[in-house]
Amino acid sequence: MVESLFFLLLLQLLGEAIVRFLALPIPGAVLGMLLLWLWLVASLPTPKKLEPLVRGILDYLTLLFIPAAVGIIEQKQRIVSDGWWLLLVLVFSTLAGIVAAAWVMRRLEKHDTYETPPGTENAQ
Amino acid sequence: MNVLWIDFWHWLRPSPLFGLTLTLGAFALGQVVARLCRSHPLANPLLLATIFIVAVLLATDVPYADYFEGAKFMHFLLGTATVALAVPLARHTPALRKDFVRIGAGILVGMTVATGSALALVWLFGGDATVLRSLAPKSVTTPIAIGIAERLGGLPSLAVASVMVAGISGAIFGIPLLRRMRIEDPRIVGIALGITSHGIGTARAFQFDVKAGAYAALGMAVTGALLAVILPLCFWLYSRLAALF
Repeated sequence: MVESLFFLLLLQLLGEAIVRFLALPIPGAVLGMLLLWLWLVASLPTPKKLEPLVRGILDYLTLLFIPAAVGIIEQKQRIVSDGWWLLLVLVFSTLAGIVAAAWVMRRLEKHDTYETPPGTENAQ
Repeated sequence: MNVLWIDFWHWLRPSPLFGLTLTLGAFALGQVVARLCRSHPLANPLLLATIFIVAVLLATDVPYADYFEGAKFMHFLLGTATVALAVPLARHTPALRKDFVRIGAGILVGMTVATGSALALVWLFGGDATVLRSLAPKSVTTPIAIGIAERLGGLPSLAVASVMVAGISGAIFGIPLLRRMRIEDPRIVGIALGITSHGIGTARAFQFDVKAGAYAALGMAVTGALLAVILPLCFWLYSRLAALF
């Protein structure tokens, strides 16, 4: 567990360091994530207990959002004045994204089945 | 007696013993209520816990800064959790490779529409820069969204609220909407919910179908990684262009 946590913290530190030294606009932890992703995809060796530690952290991920979420307490005025239309914008844009993604994927699927020779649809 | 009590309260307020205990207790309560409501998207443990803590802070007159002083340890761990997201991302990479064009197109289009339409509407309605920078990561999984909002100079709390609304609305209306389009393919349902409604949409997709849930997790991870790079670049380019004219 200790090695795994050390490994994650080291990647987080590396990500933050690179972002700060190169003045990159992306969050340091995200760069740390991309580095770990490359590491894993390249099948490089990782600490033995990394998987269970990650599962443990991600199981309680929601808990970690609470301190930031409670900050909404300082936005009372903004919520009262802009809350309703912001809510509408957020809901509308989300549903528009769902429809757009589904529409594109369905279009591409029809294209796929068109190219598949008849009788082989279930051949997988 | 009274003086002792006041002293104790002043000592307790900014201590982790207040912030952490309140946060864990509120979350446990939120989970119990969510279970009682059979995990309906509206009975979200994060939403319930946040409302509960806000109520406690208002009732006891504790400033947010004091609460955060105690709870900041958890906030720090968000960065570590973000790094950990690479593990599920790597697990889903083979599925992405197998159906790259279709999934890639779905992710790119859905992500662009969900984020672009929100930003365009906020801009049209005359929302200020802070709102724009806080709402931009609304489709991104919360840990990354907080990181993006902080990096863009938005408000992390407003970002979390936008992410919650995007998640809950997609989880409630997404599947009925797709049914109306006569879409039942678990891969499409999963991707559409994952890229717009991140973790909350992914949980809903898992209730619909296990395969849909896996694809939602894939869509969520890819969207988070892409937007964490694209959004800061867009805002940087925009500020450069604005400086030119």
